[in-house]
Parts: sequence; C-alpha cells; structure tokens
Amino acid sequence: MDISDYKQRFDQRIKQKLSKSELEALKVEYLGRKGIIRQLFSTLAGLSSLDKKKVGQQINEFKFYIEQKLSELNSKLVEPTQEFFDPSLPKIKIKKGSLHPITYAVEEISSIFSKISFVRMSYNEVEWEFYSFSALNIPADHPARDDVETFFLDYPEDKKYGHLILSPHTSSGQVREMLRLKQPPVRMINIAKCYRPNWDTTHTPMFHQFEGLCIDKGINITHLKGTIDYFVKQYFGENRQIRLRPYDFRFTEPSFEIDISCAVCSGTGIYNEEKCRVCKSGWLELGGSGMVHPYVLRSGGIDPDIYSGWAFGFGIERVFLMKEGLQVDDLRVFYSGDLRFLSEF
Amino acid sequence: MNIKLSYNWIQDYFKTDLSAQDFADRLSLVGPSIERIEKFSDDFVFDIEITPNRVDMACVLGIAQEANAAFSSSEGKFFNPFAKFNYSKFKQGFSGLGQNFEISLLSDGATRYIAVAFSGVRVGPSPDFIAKRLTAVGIKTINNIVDISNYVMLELGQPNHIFDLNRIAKAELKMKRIEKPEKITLLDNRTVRLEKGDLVFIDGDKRLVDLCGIMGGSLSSVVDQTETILITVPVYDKLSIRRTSMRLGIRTDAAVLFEKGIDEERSEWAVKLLCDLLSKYAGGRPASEIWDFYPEPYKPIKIKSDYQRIVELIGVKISRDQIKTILERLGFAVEIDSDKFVITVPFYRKNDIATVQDIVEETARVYGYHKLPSRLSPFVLVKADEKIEKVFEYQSRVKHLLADLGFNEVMNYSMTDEQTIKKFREDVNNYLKITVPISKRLEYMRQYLFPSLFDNAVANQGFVDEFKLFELAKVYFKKPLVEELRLSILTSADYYYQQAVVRHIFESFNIYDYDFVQSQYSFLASRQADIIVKNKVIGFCGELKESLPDTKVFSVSEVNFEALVELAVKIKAVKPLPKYAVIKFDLNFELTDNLKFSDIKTTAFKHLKNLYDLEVVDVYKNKRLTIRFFFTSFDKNLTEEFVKKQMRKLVDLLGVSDKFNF
Repeated sequence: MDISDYKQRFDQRIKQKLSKSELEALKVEYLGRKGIIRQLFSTLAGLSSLDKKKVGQQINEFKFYIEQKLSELNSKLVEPTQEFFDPSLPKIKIKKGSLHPITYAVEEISSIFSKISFVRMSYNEVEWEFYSFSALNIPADHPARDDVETFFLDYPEDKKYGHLILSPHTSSGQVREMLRLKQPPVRMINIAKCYRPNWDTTHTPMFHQFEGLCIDKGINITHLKGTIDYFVKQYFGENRQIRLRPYDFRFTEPSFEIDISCAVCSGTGIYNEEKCRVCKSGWLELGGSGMVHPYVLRSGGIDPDIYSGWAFGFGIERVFLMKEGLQVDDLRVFYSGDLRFLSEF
Repeated sequence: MNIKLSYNWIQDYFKTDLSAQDFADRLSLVGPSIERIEKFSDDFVFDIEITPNRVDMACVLGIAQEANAAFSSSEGKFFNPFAKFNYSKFKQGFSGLGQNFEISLLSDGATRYIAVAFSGVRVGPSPDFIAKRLTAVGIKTINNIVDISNYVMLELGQPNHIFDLNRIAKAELKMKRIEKPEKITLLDNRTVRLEKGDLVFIDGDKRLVDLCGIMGGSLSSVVDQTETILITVPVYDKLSIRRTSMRLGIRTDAAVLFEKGIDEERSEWAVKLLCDLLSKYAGGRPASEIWDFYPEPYKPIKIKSDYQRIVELIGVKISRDQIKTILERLGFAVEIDSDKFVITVPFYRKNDIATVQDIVEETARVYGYHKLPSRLSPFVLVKADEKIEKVFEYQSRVKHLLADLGFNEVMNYSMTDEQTIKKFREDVNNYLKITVPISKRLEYMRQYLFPSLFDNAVANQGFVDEFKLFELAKVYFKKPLVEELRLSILTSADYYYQQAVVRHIFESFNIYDYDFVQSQYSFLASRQADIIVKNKVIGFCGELKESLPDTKVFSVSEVNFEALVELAVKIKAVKPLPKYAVIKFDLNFELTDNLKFSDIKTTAFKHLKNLYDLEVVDVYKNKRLTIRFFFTSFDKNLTEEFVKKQMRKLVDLLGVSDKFNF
C-alpha cells in the first residue's frame, strides 16, 4: 500500500463522528508504538538512500498530518457533563471594597489641574489666624473671625500669628504657597479639610475645599474665566457654561460668584414645561473666586504693582453632588460612616 | 444679607418700562443678585442678596443707583435725591425753634447723630401707599409714625428711631455702655439681659430707654396718645452693634445695616424725608432746631489710577471714554489726563472703594463679565514639593489597594469627645480642644483614628457581618504642635489577618525590612505589636479589648503614613534570577518567648551562606511552623551537604540544635 492509500483510509475513518475513547484508539493505531507510522518507517530499511530520504519525508509529513487532524478533532470534542452544574450560581463571595466619594472627586480634580501644570499642595488644617485671616485682608473685627463662624482652639496666643484655629477655608494656603515659592509664577491647587461651626442637613462642621491660585505677570480676569471654564468642561461636561456674578470677598478684588449652567434644564430654567427644581432659573452656584487682593499679594511678599493673580475656592462635596446629579437629602451622610451609603461607591 | 424691595417703589428713583424679570436678570449680572421675584397685586417683590461690602445698596435708592449703571439712559431715568439738595439750607429752616431736649453721646459710640423734635402729631393709620409697600415687602404696619420710620429705612437704607419725647424723663438722653448686667424691656415687650459694653440710652431718671441700633425700649416708645416725638437718625459704632445683636440673637434690619457700616451722609436726606412724611401724614410740625453731632465730616476720597493698569487687569481694552461713562453712571466723578485717571468716590461708596482693583471691578462688572473672553492661564513649570507629591501618589495607591482587597474607606470628623479619649485611656489635657464646640461629640482634635473606626463598627452593627474599614486622615498633637497623616485599618478578624494586611501594604510599597515586636498599649488586648520599619517604630497593630455581641474580635492597626511613604521604593533593585539549581529545605520550629519568627528570619539572612529566600509554608496553632529555605549559588551547583551544614549552623545560632537531628 502506498502512503496516499493510508492517508485516504485515515480520512475515511475520521469522517465519522468519533467519541473521545475512539479518538484515543485511533491515535494508538496510527501513532502508537506498534502503530502504522512505526510500521511505515520500518519499511524504509530496504530502500536506497535516495528513496529513503524521499519516502521518509513523506512518512513524516503524513505523521504530522495525522497529529494535526487528531488534535483538531480532540479540541472539538465536547465533554459530557459529569455532575450538576449551574454556571450562574454565585458560590463564592469576594467582598467588594469601596472608596469614599470624596476620594474619587479629589483624584479627578487633581488630575484635571495637573494637565494644565498646576501643582497640588497640602497645608495645615490646624492653622494660625494670621494665615486664615490677617494675611488675607480679613481684619480682627471681621464677623468671620467670631467664634460662631470659626473654631478656635484652646492654645496660647502667638504674638505674631494670633490664635490657633481650625482653618475655615483652603485660602490659608494662598500666602503659605507664595512664601514657599518666594516669587511667582504660582500655579497651585490646594485640597484640604476645612471646618466651620455649622451642623445641619446642608452643612457639616468638616468639609473639603479645593483652592486654585495663579500668580504671574499679566494675569487678568480672562485667565480666571478661561481656567474655570476649562475645569467645568472637563469635570462636568463639554456642554456646560459658566457665568461670573459680582460678589464680595475680602481677599479678592474684584470678586465673583461662579455659576454653571444646569444640566437638568440645559440652562433654560424650564424642565417638562415647569420651573426647573434643581437650579435657579438655569444656573447653579459653584463657588467663589476673584482676582487676588493686593493686600494678600503683599502678605506673600509679592509686589502687586508688578504681579497679579486669580484664586478660587470650591466645595468638593458640592461639586461632587452637582456632577453626579445625586440627591443627597442630608449632607451629614458623608461623614456618618454609614456603610450602606459608602459601599455604593 | 437679603432684602425684599418692591419694583414699584424702585420706580420712584429709577423710572423704566423694563419688565420686572428683565430688570432682575440684567441687574443680577452686573450688581446685586435678585434671587426671587414674587407678584404682589400690581407690584413685584424682589428678594435681593446684598454682599457685606455693599450695604449702601440695601435699600430702594441703592438698587436704583445700581440700575442707573446697569441700564442705558434710554432704558430708564434715575432720580438723584442728593443732586440739588442743600442740607445746610434745609437745616436753617429750623433755626429759631430752640432746643427742648438734651442729648449726650460717647465719642466711640456714634459717628453721627441727628435729632429733631416734632409736636402735634396724631397717631393713626398710615396712608395706603406706605401700608401697601411695607406689606409687600413683609413688614407689618403698626401706625403712621412707626411705619414712616420703617419706610424711610427701606427707602434710604438709613435706620432711625422715633421716641415719644414726653416719655423721656427730663427730656434727657444719655448714651452709655452697660457696666453691670441689667435688664431692658424692648418695643416688642420682650425683656433681655444686657451685659458689659452694650450701648444704650438712659433718660433723666437713669432708666434704660433704648438699646442702640437694635431696638427701642418700651418705656419711651410711641403710643396711641403720643403727641410730641423726637426723631433720631444715628450712625452707631458697627462693632458694638454686632456684638450685642449677635449675643442676644436679635437681628433686626437696623442692627444688620448698622453692623455692616453705613455712611454718615445719607442721614441728611433721611431727616428731610422723615420730616416731610411726618408733617404730611402725621400732622406734626417741627418743634426744635436740628441737632447734629458729626465730629468728622466726610471728605471725598480720590483715587489716582493708570489707564493701562486698569485695562491690563481686566484683560480687554475698554476705551477711556467707556470707563469714564461707566464710572459716572455709578456716581463717581472722573477726570482724565491722557493715561492718568483721577476718580472721586461718591460718599455712599466710601467704605468699599480704595484701590485701582476696586475701580477695575466697577468697570468690568458694568461692562459685562460675560463679554470678557476665556483664556487658559499661561503654562509654566512650577516646582512641586517632591515629598508631598510622593505622599499624594502613595495615598492614592494605598486607598485603591485596600478597596481592591474589599475594604471600605470611611471619613470621620477630625474631632472626638472626652468619653472616647478616656475610653482609650488617654489624658484629655494633652489634646487640642475647641474653645466653643458646637457639640460635646466634637470637642477635641483626634490623636488616633482607630477609635472612630470602632465607632463606625458600632454604628453599623447588624448591617454588615464582616468589617473591613480604613481611614487615611490627619491627627493633631498639642505638644509639640504637629499634624501627622495616619493610616488606620480595622477588621473583624484577628491579629494575624491585620498583620497580613499591613505586610501586604509594606511589600507593595517595596518595604521588606519590617518587624512586629510585642508592645504594651493599654487600649489593646495581649496580641499587639509595635510595627518597626528600618529600626523605627512607625505604628502599632493589635486586637482591641472592646468587642460587640456579633463580633468577638476586632483588630486594628495605625501607622504614620508619611513615615511609611518616605521608606517606600517605587521600583526595587532587581534580584538576579538563580542560574543554578535552587535547593529547598523545610524545617519545623516551635516558637517560644525566646524564639520568635523574626529571630529566625534575621539570623538566617545574616549568617547563612547562599540563602536566597525563605517562606512560611505551614503554621499550626500559631506556634509550630514549617519554614522553607531556598539556597542557590550564582557560581556553581550547591550540594545537599552544604545546605545541611548551613541549616545546622542556623539551629546552633538559635540555640535549638538539641531539638533537631539532620
């Protein structure tokens, strides 16, 4: 018999549907120790060296062909199920962890500002009155410095820096950053915990703010507008608009309240033919900002006749809720440690 | 502060055909923010937010002044009451009437005080237009005298008070500060306790008749029979008013206006308006000269500014003429000499305009912030603090690592209470304390995080059956005054699980040189240890003494996170891969007080030749364990005899050779 006959026979055999054990038997029959391939090789002995080479090669090709076919068939075999099996059964539980929602917001905000070369910093939460107030043009008799507006700590007063307090805003980092860098340019994003004595459904005595600060030659209102616009479009979405409204803060001049267009009513103030319930006539308050007050620049050792800058401070809880469109009836849930709430994130 | 004003009333000073909605929307972008509009019969009521620096516009006139700048002259016409008014001429009209009262003031109590007596008034109902306007903005009408007083305050932003002159003993008013606590009964009949420093008036019989700037006293108030009145228009010291008003919680409109600091000039127009309205609607006539205390009369403030600087700070080249027009419509006087601007500030802006930045604000807001282009701030490289940057990076890494291991991140308040501090056997005197806490629960600054995590577990009992919590936050020390970033972990598993989590964090930070050494913290049960990295204690780890009915064991750890990050290595030096066969050797040990795992590990690495690695493969009852040692050489194949020799050396060094036979 010729090799091609053997091949034909083999092809015939594998045309039928073969079980796993039949396939196994076929393998032994052809490739086994006493199998057909071995037998074919043994016939080589009587051939001339030229033929040996030629036939040997044919046998090898045939062997390779068999191996390939068998392995193909083998991989196509479906193993019958031995025992009951429900692939949808969740037998093992791997506990899913969670990060605090504020962590997600902080990470996203930091990354948005790092793309435009703002450096993230962190400053003390237990702070001197000087950095939180005096250096920021907030005089000693200002209402914000009352103990009903700011937490004071029982600690000896410092002659230069005043009382020890819990910083009520991230703006205390402004002058600290100017002093760290000694001279402009300044590009800072400061994210920290802040504290104020309010505790109700819309206020927690501890909250988070992020503060942007940019100081350089030739910085003006258009840069503040452009940078906040960039942040808003990155964080909230391309289609959101901002507007500046006049406001008053001691440490900025001019000062602005920043509003962003409402996503629910697309800034129209009307939703489903009714007044939008989420916003005030199409706009939502984002937070305060302004051009750094000359007094503050001087506190940081920077000449306001040469340099100018802008700053803003926004609440993180607020932007997080605004972004996600979450309806949290009681802000206190953020710091309640309620795992039913926290594990949703 | 917010104030309610009627649109019809504003029309007295700014006549316009604009709809209430258009007026509100456009004014809000330029000046005061009109937050709500409500219809009130044929009128509209605005709810307006007034920023603390702009108390001058907390009145009908003030809003009209802003409207004059916000809208063009074709859109509305502004009536300026001060333009032609001559106060000294007005005052002269009263000369020859004499003085039928005595007033003495404290020099630090008021910066201006105008008084005039009126006789022959008849107390009765107010005219319709006054009653209607007051009702529209939510003020109850009482009688013509009281209503006129309120009406003038709302129209001009100038609080004033009207006494019944016959009810002031000896017609004498003397300002004083309270020395010893005293009680006063106010107009609304409530009695409050005054304290040292509160500013009041007493009469000729030394009776308290007025709580300055906050509310009049009932003893001298206008009553139905009143015929002779004393009209007073004061400007009080703002701090005194604020202090007393806040302490008593009496936040009248007058108090709120005074404490923000009103100017001393508008009081002149206020006196005129009061006199006009009282003679017209209460039938009175002047009974005295005008008494005016004004020790430091107003001198106009002038600001010198450079045109180029103004447009540079705005970011848009607004023309000189346009700037001039804007400022003039706001009431400023402007002189221009090429690039030099000399700007005179109107009296009602004397408390908030002082610098070129203020002029920039006035110009830019009226020009329109929405017209300014948006530009990104120019890119520059600012050097970050590398140490802080590394902490932020690892903070994020450890949080994600723990969440991936099934932990829940919590954030708790940085403050704690005395009970918690004592429960964990600490001395409250070493803790930073809030002088006026809002709650006893938030009185001291935390020095440990784990007690809050335990509180979280208590609060979540029944909701979860397995606790895996962590918090990364600062703690605050008093002596010395420092903040420290901590990582704390709590699990409802035993010490060994906690320790494994800590080791896992260390090793993912490429920190291998760590040890756990028995410690003695009184708030932990006996299974506890100091966590040592590179010979420094950076935290602790152990089981809590506290437990819960459903959770018998809680283990916690707490480490100084910044110290940990400092030791973290981003990519460790790569250990060369073995070239020759690795020989494993398992050995069983029984741990004792004198033979700790860390002793075996340290000794082995220090003294054994060709030791490549070791690992614990089995532990029985936390005491017996099998350690697998891996040996290899980078030059040749090692023999089994060589490895045995090394191992014999180890047990010798550990002093336990009698227990082994190999």
